[in-house]
Amino acid sequence: MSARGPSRSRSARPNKNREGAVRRFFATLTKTLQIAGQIVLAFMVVTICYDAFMRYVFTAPTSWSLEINTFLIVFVAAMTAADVQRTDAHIRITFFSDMAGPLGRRVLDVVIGLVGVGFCSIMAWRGFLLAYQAFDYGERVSSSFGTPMVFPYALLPLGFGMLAIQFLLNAIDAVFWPDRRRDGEEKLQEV
Amino acid sequence: MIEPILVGVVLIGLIGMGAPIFLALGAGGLFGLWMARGPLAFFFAPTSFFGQLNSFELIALPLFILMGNLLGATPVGQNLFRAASLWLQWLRGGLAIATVGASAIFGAVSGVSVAGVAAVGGIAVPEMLKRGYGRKLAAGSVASSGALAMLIPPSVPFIIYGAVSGVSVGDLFIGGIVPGIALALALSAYIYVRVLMKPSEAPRETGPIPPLGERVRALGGIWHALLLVFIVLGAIYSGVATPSEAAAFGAAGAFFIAGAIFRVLTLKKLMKILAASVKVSGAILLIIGCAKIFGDYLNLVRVPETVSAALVATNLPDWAILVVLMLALVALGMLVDAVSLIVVTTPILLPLITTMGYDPLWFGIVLVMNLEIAVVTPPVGLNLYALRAVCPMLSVEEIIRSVVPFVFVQFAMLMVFVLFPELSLWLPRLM
Amino acid sequence: ETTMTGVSYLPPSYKALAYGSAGFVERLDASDAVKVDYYDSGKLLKADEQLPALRSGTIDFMFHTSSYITRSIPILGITGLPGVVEELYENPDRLKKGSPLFNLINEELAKEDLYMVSMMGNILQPEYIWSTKAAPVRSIADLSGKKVRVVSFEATKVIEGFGGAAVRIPSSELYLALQRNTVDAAVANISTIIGRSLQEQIDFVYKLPMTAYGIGLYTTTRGWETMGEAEKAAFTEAADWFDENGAAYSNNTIYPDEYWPMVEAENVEIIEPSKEDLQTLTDAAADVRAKWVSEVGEDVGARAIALALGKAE
Ligand code: NA
Ligand code: NA
Repeated sequence: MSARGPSRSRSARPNKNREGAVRRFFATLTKTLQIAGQIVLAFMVVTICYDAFMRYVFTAPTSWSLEINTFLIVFVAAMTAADVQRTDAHIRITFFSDMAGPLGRRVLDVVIGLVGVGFCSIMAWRGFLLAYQAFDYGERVSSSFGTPMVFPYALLPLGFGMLAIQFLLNAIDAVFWPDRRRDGEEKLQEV
Repeated sequence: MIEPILVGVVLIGLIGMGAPIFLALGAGGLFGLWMARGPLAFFFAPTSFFGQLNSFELIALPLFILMGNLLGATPVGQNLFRAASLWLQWLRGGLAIATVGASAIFGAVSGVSVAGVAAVGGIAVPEMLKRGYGRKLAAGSVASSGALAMLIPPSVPFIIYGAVSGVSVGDLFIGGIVPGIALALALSAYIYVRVLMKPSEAPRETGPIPPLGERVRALGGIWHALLLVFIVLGAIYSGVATPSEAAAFGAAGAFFIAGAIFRVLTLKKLMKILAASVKVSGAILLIIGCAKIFGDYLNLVRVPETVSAALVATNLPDWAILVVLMLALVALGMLVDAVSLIVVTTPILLPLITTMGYDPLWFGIVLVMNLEIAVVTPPVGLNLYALRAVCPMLSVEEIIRSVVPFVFVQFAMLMVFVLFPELSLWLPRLM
Repeated sequence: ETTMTGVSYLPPSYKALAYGSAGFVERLDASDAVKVDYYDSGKLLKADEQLPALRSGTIDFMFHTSSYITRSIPILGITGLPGVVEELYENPDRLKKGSPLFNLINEELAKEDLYMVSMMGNILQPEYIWSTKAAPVRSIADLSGKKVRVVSFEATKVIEGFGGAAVRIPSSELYLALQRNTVDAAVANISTIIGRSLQEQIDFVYKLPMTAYGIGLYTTTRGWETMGEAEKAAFTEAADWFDENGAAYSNNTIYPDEYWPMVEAENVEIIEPSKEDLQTLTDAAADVRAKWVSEVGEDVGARAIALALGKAE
């Protein structure tokens, strides 16, 4: 046990192996979506250039580029959010929390984790209703491409649902394994 | 009035505790909506978030970030700053001033400010730090000058003000040129004076001034950067692409420079660059979306209207009303994003402004000058977070402190254009 | 007094579009029964999020541009059908509250749990083709090979049928797109032209009625049915004013007295379509109408078109 905080009896912790398996699965899932986000970004570059090129040279633009790429902005924000949280890459101010002692920081981490679970659960739940309603009433974009709104809206429950789970894992960490470091292998901007 | 204060406490409290900024804004806003409307208000959270991000103009943000990261894999940035440091050796603080210039040029390409900060900051800050520049000087010059993109045409805020006020977008674009250049010059002058007084913030390159030949040869290394500027500006001004779409051309151009000219892109490297870009974009976009949840709370309980109405009710002389108005807008700008600030305050303030005998065109210009400040003032100051995202070596609080003196310069310039409307109006009238 | 929350994504500066909604809100608010909490300019909800918000009960009423929701609520497509809108526009009584077409629309809306209290009494002046000096569109033949910014599904199909390329550009970038000839022309209502200062970049307007829209006032069926007597009376009274004055004031006063003179002041050449051109448009749009009819159902679609054209009672 580290010097951080009062020690707890090991038996009070959840089974680390089983818990570890769940965590590994979840980490793989968020990483996969991060990679999907990379493909989306490349897709944006290619399709926007293609659309402009076809419009300028052949007077034959696509009907879908603007619509799809606009929805993909939501994809990049929502679907990669859990991975960004897992690797502690969300922008935050640690100036004051750094001044709190080890125990204080653990308490803060639990509070933040729970607030995160609460906020993201509400976003996921209401986002689900939004998507379900769009499906139920057959809502579409009133353009010639006419994307059914259920698809872009569904990004909200999926993305925020995963973000809620990630916040929960962070809160559990703060309680039981304060020494577990967030996945630091992929630092921002290491390129 | 107790509820808005409570919401403010939650917001500041969460930020202070070290919660992610997006969470502080989202949870604070949601809490306020819940107090104002009960559980029904929960509906606003996902729709605000979605509605805010469901906007094609935002696409420039991830794409310019990608462009910056692709360039980061090449020596283009180093070459550019090497040339600048050789040629500007005589000028103390030359690199910081060159950064302001680069932001102004980027402003002619982009219509939103975060994209400029992301693209310029990712290159300029590391280069300045490498050459011994002060961290705050480096951070402050990028974060504040990135906002020039909103004043220098093309400009998304001017287009939105045009739609809300009925003022000609063409006139607004022309009207933004003089204040944009003046602000760039003022920021540069401030940097120059600052490093004169505190030379340690911008060390001179050691050794004698290099011979002309070396300096000319250094110019040979900047053609890649010029090519990219040509691609992006060319795409916009030739009509091949709109400003948002041009960001994709920039990213594709940077891919070409990194892959074909410098041959530094392996598949693995490209994946890493894409990963970093997605991560940074996701982090900033999440803040943009959640800032709207918070903004919607302020709108729902009509905070901006209340503040504006209180101002209108004061019996001050015109110039004093204007000064107080600008201070109030700066304060509001701390809490709401740029677009909301225009959309919410214009319909309330414009009648007052026109009654006082001022030109709506002039008001649009000073409103956007206000936005220059709004985007660098926390807690809703997207330039700050965009810079943090592309420069992880800087902490957010460091960036916030770094922009303080720059905000004073911006406010001083704002006052000049507020008190002397002719300064901004002569050029559009000439056209 | 009951508080009712209403929204419109249109800013008050879009005078022609906001005159009716603002007047409605003013009258409803002045009544003893209802206090209105109103948010325009998309301050509270963006255009796309208004309908979900209404359905979820977060707001009590909304103003919405019909062309924005025709693919979610197909019956509203009648306000934008090429070959129909000119007739409909010229005969305001056909869309008035209580008219057969108005009632038919509401029968269909009821299936979507929506109630249209009024469609501002008529549709607004149709959308025409506005083009630049570099690529004038002065006839249907001129459309061939042109890049035309168009949003609505109905107009897109017609433009493509005439050999033009339908381009999607965000409205905030349309000004620059016309200036730099990223697009050659735009299909738009004159309110959009004036609202975005596009007349500065436009040199020709070819008044071919491509499509149109109206601004409707909606509640949910449940919201309407459960509204108290006094509230409903106040709502109806204000809506009657909206029905009487909404489209009429825009079409008969603001457009001719204010907006068209602004367009003329920029030396925009105005080209009236010939009878043959109008017939060509009507013929070319047969497919679009057929597709629409199949979407809303044969009986309803055919009856709606007949009512709009004055060929049925
Ligand atoms: Na700009
Ligand atoms: Na701010």
